Amino acid sequence: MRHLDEGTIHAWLDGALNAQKAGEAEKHAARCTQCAMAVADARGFIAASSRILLALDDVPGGVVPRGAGSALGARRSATSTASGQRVRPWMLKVAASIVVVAATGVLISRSGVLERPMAAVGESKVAPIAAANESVAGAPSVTVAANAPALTADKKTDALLKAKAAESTNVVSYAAQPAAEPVQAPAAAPPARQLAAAPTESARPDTNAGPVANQVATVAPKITQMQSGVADRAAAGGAAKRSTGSLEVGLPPGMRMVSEKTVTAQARVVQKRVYEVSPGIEVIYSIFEPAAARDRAEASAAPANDSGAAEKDESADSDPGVNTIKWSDSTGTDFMLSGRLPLDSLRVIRQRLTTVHRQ
Amino acid sequence: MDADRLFRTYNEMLTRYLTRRLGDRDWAEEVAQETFVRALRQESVTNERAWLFTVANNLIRDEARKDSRRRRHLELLREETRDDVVEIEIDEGTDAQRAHETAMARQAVDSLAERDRLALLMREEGLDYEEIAAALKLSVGSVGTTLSRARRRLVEHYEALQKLPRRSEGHAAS
Repeated sequence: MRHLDEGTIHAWLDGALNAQKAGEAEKHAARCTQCAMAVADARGFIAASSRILLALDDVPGGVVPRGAGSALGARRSATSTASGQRVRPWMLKVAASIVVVAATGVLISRSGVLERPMAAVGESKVAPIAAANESVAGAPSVTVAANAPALTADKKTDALLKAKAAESTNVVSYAAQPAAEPVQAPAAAPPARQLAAAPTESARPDTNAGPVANQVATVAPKITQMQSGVADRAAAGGAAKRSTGSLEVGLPPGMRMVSEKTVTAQARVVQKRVYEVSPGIEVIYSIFEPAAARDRAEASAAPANDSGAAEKDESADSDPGVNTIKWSDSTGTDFMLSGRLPLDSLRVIRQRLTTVHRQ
Repeated sequence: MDADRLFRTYNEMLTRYLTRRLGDRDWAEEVAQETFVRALRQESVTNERAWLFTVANNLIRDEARKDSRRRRHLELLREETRDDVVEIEIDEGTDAQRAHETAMARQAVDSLAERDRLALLMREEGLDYEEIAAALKLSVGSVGTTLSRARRRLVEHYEALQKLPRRSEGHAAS
């Protein structure tokens, strides 16, 4: 018999060969040293590759911030936890449909230039989280849902199908599993079904409001939890973070800070914040501590101010899709904003961020 | 089609597969949800698991064609590595070693050819050779060869990455 080829060995070890071929392979490997070694190698590759792939279940923190960080994260049921402040995509879609009128009103009523480019880069079918939060907090969601004109029959069907599937499986499995992260306030983290049974006052379902409204009654408390969860995480950041709460308050609808950390670069402390400017679109805002006096003297050759005179546009050489703008203010603080957005949009975001930064 | 049973049976494995493939759990869950919604519209399918993985693969492919924004996590990571910095993690519980291993695993997996990567990830979720062949439009006989090549290259690439000095160690030395 010819030597076993590598594909056959793996198929044998994977149990993919029929009984006859598996028997032949086994007999050959038993008397052929070379093939026996190849089998041992294959076993090693199978085990090692499985171990390597396990590491992929650890989604990078700060990039996908909600609920990320656990090595077993992906093995958890794909379910929201109040401690993790995760919000399901279908929840966002349902919430987005609910608040579309209110959110539109907010966007129209604001005359700032920021909203337009942000809306342009986002997906219209998913409303910004912040906008959803704002609207849910500001208006009785049940009433809005019952009258929401944006919910077409098709979208209703999709939302309800997704909601049904998630509610009937995710929620149950969540209830059966321990929270993956420490629960600060157990009473604030009941499964969705409990929430539906005991909604908050503002989200209490109207018995005449129909099935959509009842779905909203389940979603609205989760959004409220998520909103408070953001504040909790911000507070947990400690002294290293700079006025996170006020920054969140000053941000425009649809924009939120998803992570913040402090790093050092070239002997300077840098605050790096990741903002989600619309669903799926993130930018990195870096604030470099003021340079040393001699550095500032050198930099003074080029007028620096926060009105844009020292702004420098850079397109990332390693990724043509990522644009970067840099600027400085009169204190010597350097700023950098980068993201997969047009430079004009980055400038608008920069304008808003620097305004917030001064507040 | 029994939606509840389908979701209970396959959601976890499909989401894990997608998370490993995409490196973005939110995106993975979104694709998984959309896959199950598509399944609800089907009267019946002959091989549920292969069908689900095929639809999920197609959704990713279609999405990638029309919209590359979903790769933001890679761009952000790349952006981070472009900065010559020594990072001081503030968040409690951050495990630098684990993060390093995750980054190496991601890099090693991304180095594989698309077909090899998908075959390997699907096999890790327990799909048999027939299902993998159906999902990737391969002959059953070639799945073993595909998997053996994928495993060997993954391990070799990962080991090569392990031998490289870590960035933080390099800074510490200097």
